[in-house]
Amino acid sequence: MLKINKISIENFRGIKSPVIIDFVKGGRPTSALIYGRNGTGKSSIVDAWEWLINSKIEYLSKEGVSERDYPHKLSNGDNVYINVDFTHPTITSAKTVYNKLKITTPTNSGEYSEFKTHTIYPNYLRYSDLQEFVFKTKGDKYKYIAKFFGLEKFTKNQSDLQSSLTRISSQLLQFQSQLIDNKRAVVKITGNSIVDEISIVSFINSIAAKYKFDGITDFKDSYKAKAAISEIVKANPIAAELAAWTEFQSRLNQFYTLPQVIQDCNDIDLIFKGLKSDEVNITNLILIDLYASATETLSKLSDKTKCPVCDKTFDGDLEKHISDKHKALEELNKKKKDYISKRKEILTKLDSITKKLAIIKSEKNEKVLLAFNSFFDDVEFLETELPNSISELKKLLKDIETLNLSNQASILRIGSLSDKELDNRKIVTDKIKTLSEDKTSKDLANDFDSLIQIIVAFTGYLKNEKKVAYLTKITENLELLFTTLTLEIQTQIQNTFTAIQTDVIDCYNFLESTNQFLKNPEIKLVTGKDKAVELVIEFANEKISPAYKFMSESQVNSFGLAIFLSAVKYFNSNFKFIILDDVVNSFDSFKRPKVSQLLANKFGDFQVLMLTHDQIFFDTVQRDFPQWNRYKFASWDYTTGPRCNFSNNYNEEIQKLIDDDDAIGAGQKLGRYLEMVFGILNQNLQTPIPYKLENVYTLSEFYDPLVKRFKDKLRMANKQHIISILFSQFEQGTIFRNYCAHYKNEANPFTAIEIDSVFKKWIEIESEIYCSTCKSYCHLEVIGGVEYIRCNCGDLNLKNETKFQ
Amino acid sequence: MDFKSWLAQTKIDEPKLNVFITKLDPFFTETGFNGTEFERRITFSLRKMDSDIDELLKPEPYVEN
Repeated sequence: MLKINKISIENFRGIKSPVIIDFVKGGRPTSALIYGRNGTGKSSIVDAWEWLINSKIEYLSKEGVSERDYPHKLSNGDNVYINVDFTHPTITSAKTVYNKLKITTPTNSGEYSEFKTHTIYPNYLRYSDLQEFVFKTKGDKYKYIAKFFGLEKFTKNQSDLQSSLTRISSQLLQFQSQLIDNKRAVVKITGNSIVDEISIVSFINSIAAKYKFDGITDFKDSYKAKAAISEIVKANPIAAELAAWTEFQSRLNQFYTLPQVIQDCNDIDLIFKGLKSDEVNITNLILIDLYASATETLSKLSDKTKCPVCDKTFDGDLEKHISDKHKALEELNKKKKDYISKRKEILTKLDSITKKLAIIKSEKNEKVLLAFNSFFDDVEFLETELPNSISELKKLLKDIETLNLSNQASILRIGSLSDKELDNRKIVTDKIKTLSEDKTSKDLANDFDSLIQIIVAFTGYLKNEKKVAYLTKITENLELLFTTLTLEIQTQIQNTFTAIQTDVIDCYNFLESTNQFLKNPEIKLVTGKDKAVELVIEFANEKISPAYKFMSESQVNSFGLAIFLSAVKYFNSNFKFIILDDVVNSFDSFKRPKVSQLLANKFGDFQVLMLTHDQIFFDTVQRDFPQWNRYKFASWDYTTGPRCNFSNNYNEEIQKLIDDDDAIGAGQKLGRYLEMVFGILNQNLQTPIPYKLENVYTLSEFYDPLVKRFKDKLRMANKQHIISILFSQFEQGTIFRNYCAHYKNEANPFTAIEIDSVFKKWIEIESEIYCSTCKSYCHLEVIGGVEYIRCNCGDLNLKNETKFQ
Repeated sequence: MDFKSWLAQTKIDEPKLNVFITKLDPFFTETGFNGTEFERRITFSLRKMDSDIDELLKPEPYVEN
């Protein structure tokens, strides 16, 4: 079995000086517990571990942080590493070092490859991972589950393939549509619904026969027919001009009708003026959500004078002030949205006009250019000026000083071109009509036009036909691969879940043992969705899906944690190691000890690296696992990183303060500890406690009902329970009573000897009510009408007759 | 099973995908499927189809006897 001896990290992320976490105590492998407030560099350890395993840190990549940012800024990328020492017959260490020359490929050494075969599945869990599982969509839950089932690469490829498939399919649709247009154009010219080379060649040859030039056998020779008919047209000036005007008419039909932009430009000018007059406030738009929540928050606050946005006292009606501010910002935001939407609309229209200009600009016939001289002047002017209007409009709002789009020459020119549409069309129609009076020339021009058009259309047809066939094959294969991959992932997820289901249920039911109705969670793949899972829970023996209908946030957290722990247990059977980074954050405080108990009960053979910023949870874990190594990240400094100290557990710290004759320090630490334990015990024994609105209790207010509860529940005729005896001894004299009432007040000092006597007696009591096997305090439960006061595993049973004297 | 092994197995299980997977294989990298590069190659092939047909339909150069 692979066991960790030591993790060393240097110059990585927030860590500068080496941080060494020892996993050996008394020559035996153990776990480690790290406490540190937020921002002291704890998470850099998990980041380093992920880097060791995967060469990259996924959540940082998603946020745009690249490998370039992994080294500590003062390190210059030198000596950036994580090294892990092991106890194992063949693996002694695994090291990953930052590679300045190829930052995405760190240098691995030691027995890295063999180590990797032991860590196929992710064995680290961050608070943020659980949050994703709790709050995000079915798709995000799918990703979470896939990640911890070792399918992250599969799902990443699945997602990438799907994106490519979507884009290629959309491209295919465009070509299919173009192919239909090509076919329609060909059919219109030939009058034959069959579109193939034979029918096109036959059509061209029918024109060849009519004008007595050589026919063709293959479409590739169509240029010969084109050249032959061009010569004939050249010899007939009327037909040549008619062909030119017919071609121009076709272009003009694509050019007109122009989109109407003048009214839109008037509108955007007005919106812009309104926005610009409020420019100072535009920067405040980012505060709109803050003002929205402030309006809501303020209605619930008793003190309505202090502004929840700036935390300053406001002289006046703050509620009205905030509400007015919020309304003004909402109005401004609406204007900004109107501006953005109008701008988008205009840009789309100008873009369409730019394309139309390019089509009409390709006209080359001199007669047409001469007749439409002023029209082409306008076209040329627009080709030069319109890009300036577009780039002006594309500028950021803050970078535009004034906007007078409706009066810009280019916009006005679009208007005037548009106004001349009917006239321009009439000129062309009249010209064609006049030139068509000579039937021979008319037929020749028409046949010339048909031949040109059919060559263009069939060439397009051939190209698009090839592209459609090519892309169809690719999309079919991609679809089949995607479907096969999806099926594989879903099968793996289902099989894996089935394999770990017993453990998941065990872990969940353990964490949520106080809830008798919600139990036995499962996951279900969502039918018809490629990437979605749904949670299922049993509520009073009925399966409920989605489980959210009945589960709280904390319960979904338990589900997420249960899946992670079970997956690691199942898959990493040769490397029993887990990292839990602040995972108890969203658990209710009374449920946090359950996490510790779960580790003790079901993961006793695992090495754990537990990171927390919760002092009480740190205390809970140190009490439950006194053999673990403990560290405190006291502070963080840019030049050195975290200040990492080896830490004592609660009892050791209290004893040390007593030994140092620091009675105040020892008294206060013991007081905090007793408050925590009394709280847990009262919860476990369901002790009735008078409700206090301010929710602040003295030690006595917790202690007195607790002792009464114990005594009430542990009665036996003519006998006294050991707990009752110990509590009586605890209260002998006035020391403890005084301590309970005044331990927070430094003006009433106690001697170290007095604190020591309270402390020693409490240790004696605790050993009677706390089970060191399952790491739980005794609790009250009633089964089949029989009352028990016992620990979770049942080893400790206070109702046992031997406990009565 | 890692992803590359799954791909190799799929070539056997789905013989019609054999050639396609072989062509696609280099685009599966450590960071996922390189769709951008794959689609760039497709665009290149599509352009080549255009130029092939344009080349085919180009008038033959005039050769003097």
